[in-house]
Amino acid sequence: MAQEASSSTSSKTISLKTGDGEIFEIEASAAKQMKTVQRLIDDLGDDITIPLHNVFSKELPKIIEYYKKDITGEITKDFEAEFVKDLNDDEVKVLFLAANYLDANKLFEFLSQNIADRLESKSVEYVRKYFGVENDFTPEEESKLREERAWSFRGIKEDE
Amino acid sequence: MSSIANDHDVISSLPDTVLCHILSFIPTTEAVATSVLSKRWTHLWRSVPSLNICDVNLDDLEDYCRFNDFVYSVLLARNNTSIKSSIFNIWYDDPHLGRLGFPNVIKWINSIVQRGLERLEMCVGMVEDNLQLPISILSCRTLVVLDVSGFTVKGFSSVRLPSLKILRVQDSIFLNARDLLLLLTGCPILEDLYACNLQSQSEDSLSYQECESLSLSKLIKAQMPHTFCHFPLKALRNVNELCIEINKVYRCFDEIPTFHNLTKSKLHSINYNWNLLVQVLNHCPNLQHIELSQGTDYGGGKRDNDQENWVDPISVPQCISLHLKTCTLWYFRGQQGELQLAKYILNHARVLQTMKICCRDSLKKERELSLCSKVSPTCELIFHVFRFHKEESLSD
Repeated sequence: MAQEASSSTSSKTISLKTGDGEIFEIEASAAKQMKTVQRLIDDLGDDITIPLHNVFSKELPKIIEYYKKDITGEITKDFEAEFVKDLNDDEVKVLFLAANYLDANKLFEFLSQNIADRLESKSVEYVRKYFGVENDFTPEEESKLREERAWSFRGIKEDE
Repeated sequence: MSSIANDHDVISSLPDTVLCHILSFIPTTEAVATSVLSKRWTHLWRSVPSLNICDVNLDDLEDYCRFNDFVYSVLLARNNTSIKSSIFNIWYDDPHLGRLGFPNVIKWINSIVQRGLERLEMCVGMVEDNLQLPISILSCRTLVVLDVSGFTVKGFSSVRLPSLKILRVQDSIFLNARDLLLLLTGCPILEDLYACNLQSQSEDSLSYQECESLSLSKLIKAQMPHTFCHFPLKALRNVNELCIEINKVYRCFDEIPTFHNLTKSKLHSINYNWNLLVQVLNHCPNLQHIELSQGTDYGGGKRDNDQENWVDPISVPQCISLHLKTCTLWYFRGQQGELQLAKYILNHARVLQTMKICCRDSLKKERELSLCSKVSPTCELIFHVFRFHKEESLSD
């Protein structure tokens, strides 16, 4: 299809297609905050539906909600608290990965802090599961490390 | 293909910098603990761009030694990644430990301020006495946010904080008003100031030259509750938001600048100096939200002016007639002058939406004010009554 040169208006919307085939609309000004999307727009034009292979229909609406508030300058501490209140740790992780993929800096920063808050004082095993880390230490190696860093483990919950 | 199946592959493929970024928000002890997660993580903590010493309460020597050891080990084992943000939250429960330990804190601070520090939060204290703020902080060229509380700030002769945008100083002691000014003079691009409960050991006033020397042209927000030393209002003239103990920081013949950008203001410690209040209001042409109090609490406030009566100003201050939307009178005791002020505002504030009066006991004055004429048709008069530990709101 021939691309027409379109005059950009402030109310222009961009179509995004998730990895599981759903289509969402966002304002062009919100799209600007997601550098990955903006790069795709620059390459493909703003009339084409932008494909996002690694973002899915479960998390994209939440991200769009965040940036809707951002472009009107309404993001407050209360809004951010409310935004993550009902999300469990896995849901936050998925949002965070999406923000990272989309190169959406403000959301990325906010979720980094939120994940850090959630992981604080959690057990080593919990953090391993959360980041999908395979423990490749032998029990001897691990207990030696723990002993060397004894001060570090004072505030941390015991593994189940 | 569900998103969950891809999850673990994607998370473990996150670059080290992203993981370090998350770790920069947690206490350093926990960041170091991640070294046991797996071999990949063993050395990750060395690149975390923060040093967060949080919630450390030291009351015995063995703990103190291990803690000291830990911080030195971290500083030595870290690689060259600069420390961008730092928190020091330490309490020495024994003055002996405090005197022994604090020189180490100074060394730690000295080493990190040289290397690109942008955010610092410090609350280090001990029983019996304030500790002295490490003055190397005051010449950190990269610092953008500084938040300190519980220190004595002295022993410095110059301050160079060319990048500082946000300054929070609380519960701290200065030698004199001049030192507070000296601190602020070193922050030329400051945007947000919070100076709460700062005490000056000397009662001296600033000289005219000293008042003129401070100009905080980029300052947008200035909050100085419970700070009573002499302070030049002129330095704050560009702010949008101001909270200040007005009759305490103002000295006779100080210049009151025109606060063109001021839309929200809290004026405490008016001490019944109605003349000063009217003068200030005349210099705030665009004020929309105001909170006023005579003292700082419900206790019997000392009155500097012996119950001067309110006298209606010759002309209505512009902010009152054109812009004032909300007005709150705190610690209202129903004195004659306070009543007259409340009535004056109700009579002349044409776009007033809410007048809120906070008082300790239910006053008979409620009725008197409710009956008073309000020039604004949409004005709502609210009484907020504090009854010991219960609060009630009575709407008009």
